[in-house]
Amino acid sequence: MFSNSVLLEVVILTPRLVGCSRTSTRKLHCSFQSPTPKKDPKKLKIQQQPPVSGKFDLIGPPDPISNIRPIQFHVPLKETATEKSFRLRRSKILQWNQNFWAHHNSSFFKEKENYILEHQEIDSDGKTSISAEKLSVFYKRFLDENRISHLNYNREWYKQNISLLWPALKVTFIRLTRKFDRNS
Amino acid sequence: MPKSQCLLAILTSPKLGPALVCQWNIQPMLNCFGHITLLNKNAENMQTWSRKRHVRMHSTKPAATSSSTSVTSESISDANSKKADVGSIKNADYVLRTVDIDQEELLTLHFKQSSQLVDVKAKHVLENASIYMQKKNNVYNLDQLSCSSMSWVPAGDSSTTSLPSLHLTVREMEPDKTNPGANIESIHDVEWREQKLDFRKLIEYYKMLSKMRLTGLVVLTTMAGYWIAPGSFSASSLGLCALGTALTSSAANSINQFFEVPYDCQMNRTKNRVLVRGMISPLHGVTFAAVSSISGLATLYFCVNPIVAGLGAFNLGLYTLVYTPLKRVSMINTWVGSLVGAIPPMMGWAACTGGLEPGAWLLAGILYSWQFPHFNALSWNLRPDYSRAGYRMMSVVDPGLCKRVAFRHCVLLTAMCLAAPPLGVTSWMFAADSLPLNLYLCYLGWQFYRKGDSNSSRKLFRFSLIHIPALLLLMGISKASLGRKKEEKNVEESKQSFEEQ
Repeated sequence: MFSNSVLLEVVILTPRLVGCSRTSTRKLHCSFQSPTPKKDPKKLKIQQQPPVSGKFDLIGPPDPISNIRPIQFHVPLKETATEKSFRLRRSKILQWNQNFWAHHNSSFFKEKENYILEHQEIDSDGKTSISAEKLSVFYKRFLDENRISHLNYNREWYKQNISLLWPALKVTFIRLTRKFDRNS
Repeated sequence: MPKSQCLLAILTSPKLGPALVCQWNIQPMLNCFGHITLLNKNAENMQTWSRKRHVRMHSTKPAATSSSTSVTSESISDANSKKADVGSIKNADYVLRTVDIDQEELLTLHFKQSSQLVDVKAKHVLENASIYMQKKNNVYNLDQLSCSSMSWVPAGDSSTTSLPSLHLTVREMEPDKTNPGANIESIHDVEWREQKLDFRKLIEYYKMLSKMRLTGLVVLTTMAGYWIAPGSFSASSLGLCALGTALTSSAANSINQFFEVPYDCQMNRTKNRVLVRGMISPLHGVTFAAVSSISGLATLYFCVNPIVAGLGAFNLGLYTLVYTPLKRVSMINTWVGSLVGAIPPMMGWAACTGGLEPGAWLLAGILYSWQFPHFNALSWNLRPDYSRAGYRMMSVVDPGLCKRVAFRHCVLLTAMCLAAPPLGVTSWMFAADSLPLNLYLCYLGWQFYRKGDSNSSRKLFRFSLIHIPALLLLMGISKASLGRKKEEKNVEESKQSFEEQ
C-alpha cells in the first residue's frame, strides 16, 4: 500500500485577475537573501515585506494594479524637522498616486471586461473574439469619461511634483553637511 | 473578490516518478468530496483534509499572512457561487508563491493504486486545474479540451524503471499584458532596491534621461539642415551646433520625464525609465536638465548665432511647457509635437547661413509632415495604453482622423519634395530620386488608411524610420548650392585665365 503512495508538496497559487475589483492588499514582494547554509541554496526566498535597509530608502516592485512603485522610507537617526516633513509629504503624495491609479486602473479593467462580454462575437468553433474597431470605441469612451478626473489629477500632480523640489534641495544639503561632519 | 485559492500538489510516487504535478483548486474538490484523505509521511497515519483543516492550515502558517487567510475564508464563503465565475476566469493570470513547509507538514496524498490518477480526468475535479511539467518548466492550464485529450501512454513492460507518460493538448490563455504591474518581464520587476545613486552608472542614466536615440535623431536632422543649407561649411561650427542641440534636446527630454513619472509607470513602453525606477532622484533629473539646457543654449548663443539659440529656447519651451501638458488636455498635441520636430533642421540651416531662407521653411515643412505618418502609426498600436493612462492622442480620440491625417501628410510630403527644385533648394535630380521613396510612403499610408490594422500601421512606422534619413541624404547630395559653387568656380577660373591672357 505504501509503495503506491504519492508525495504532496503544497504551494499556494494566487490567481490574480488582471484589473477588476481586486484591491491591492495582497501584494507580493520578493527579495533575495543570501540563503543560510542549512537551506537549499537554489530556493528563492519570497517575502511579504521589503528587506530592512540601514541607510537608504527602498523602492519596490510596481503594484500589480496601480503600477506605482512603493517606497519604504528610511528614517535617519537624527532626523531634522525639514527631513521629516519632506519624508511625510513624499509618502503622502505616493499614497495619493497609488490610490488614484489603483482606482482608475481597476475601473478600466472592469469596464473593459464588461464591454467585451457585451460586444464579443462567438464564432463557429465556440471561441469568442472582439474586433479592434469595437474595442477602440471603448477606449475613446473611457478616455472621454475620465477627462475631468485626469485634468484635476494632472494639475494637482504638477503642483505637488514641483513643490517637492525646494524641500528636496534643502534635504540634500542637510544630508551632505551631515556626511561631511561625520567624515571630518 | 478572489476567484479561487489553489493548491499546487507535486505528486511523486515510485511508479510515477516526480514527473507529474497537479494543481487543484481545493475548494471545488472539497465541495465534491467533502474531504480529501491525506497521509502524513512522518506520522504514517491518515489525515482528513477537510474545509476546517484547510482554513486552519492557512491561519497557522507563518508565511501565510493575515491577508491570505482572509482570502481563504472569503473563498469558502464564496465557494458556492464560484461555479458561476468560472466563465470569466479565462482572463485570470496566475502568480506562483512558495510557502515553506516544515518537516512534520510534509504530506502524502494517498492513492490505492497509481492508476487512479486517471480520475484526474473527471470534469468536476479538473475545473480550474493545471498541470506543471518539471522538465519544460511550464504550467499548462486545463480546460475541457485538455481534460478530454489527456490519455495514458502505457509503458512497454511493468518494470518500475519505465514510467508511464501522458499526452496532453492544452489551450493556453493569453493574459492582458498592457498593465506593466501584471507584466513581469525581468527579475528587476519584483525586487526591492536601495535608492542610492550608483556613480559608476551615472553616464548610462544620463543617456537614458536624455532619451539618447530620440536626441540622436534630433541632432541628425539638425546636421542635415546645416548640410543642405547653401552657406559655407565649417566643421567646428557644425560640431558646436550639434553639441548645443544635443544638450538642449537632452534637457527637454529630462524635464518631460520629470513631469510624467506616474504616467510613465502606466505603460510598458516607458516603465523602465530612470525616474520611474528610482535610479536617480527627481531633483537630480531637474538639475541635469538645468545644467544641460543652460550650457546647450549658451553654446548655441555664443559659438553659433543668436537665431539658432532663440529657436532652441523656443523649442525647449514648446516641448516641455506646451506639448507635454497638452498631451493630457487636447488632441491638438500631435500638431504641436510635429512643430517641435520641425524646428531642429531650421536650427541647422540658420547655423549655416545665419538666416531663415525659404529652404529652411521647406525643410521644416517636410519634417513637420513626416511626423504624422510616423507618430500616428506608432500611436495606433498603443491605444489601450493611452486610453488607460489618460493621454488624449488622436489615435484614441478620433481614429478615423488619425488615419486620414497620416495619409494626407504623406501626399503633402511628396508635393513639398517636388517643390524643392523650383524653390532653389535642390537640383531636379532630387525631385526624381525622392519620388520612389515618397510614393512608397504614400502607398503604405494608403494601406494604413484603408485597413487600419496593427500590421499596416507597423509597416508604415518602420518605413518612416528609414524614409527620413534616406530623404535627407538624397536632399544633401543634390542640393542646389553644389551646382552653383561649381559654376562660380568655373567662372572664376575662366576669369583668371582671361586675365592671364
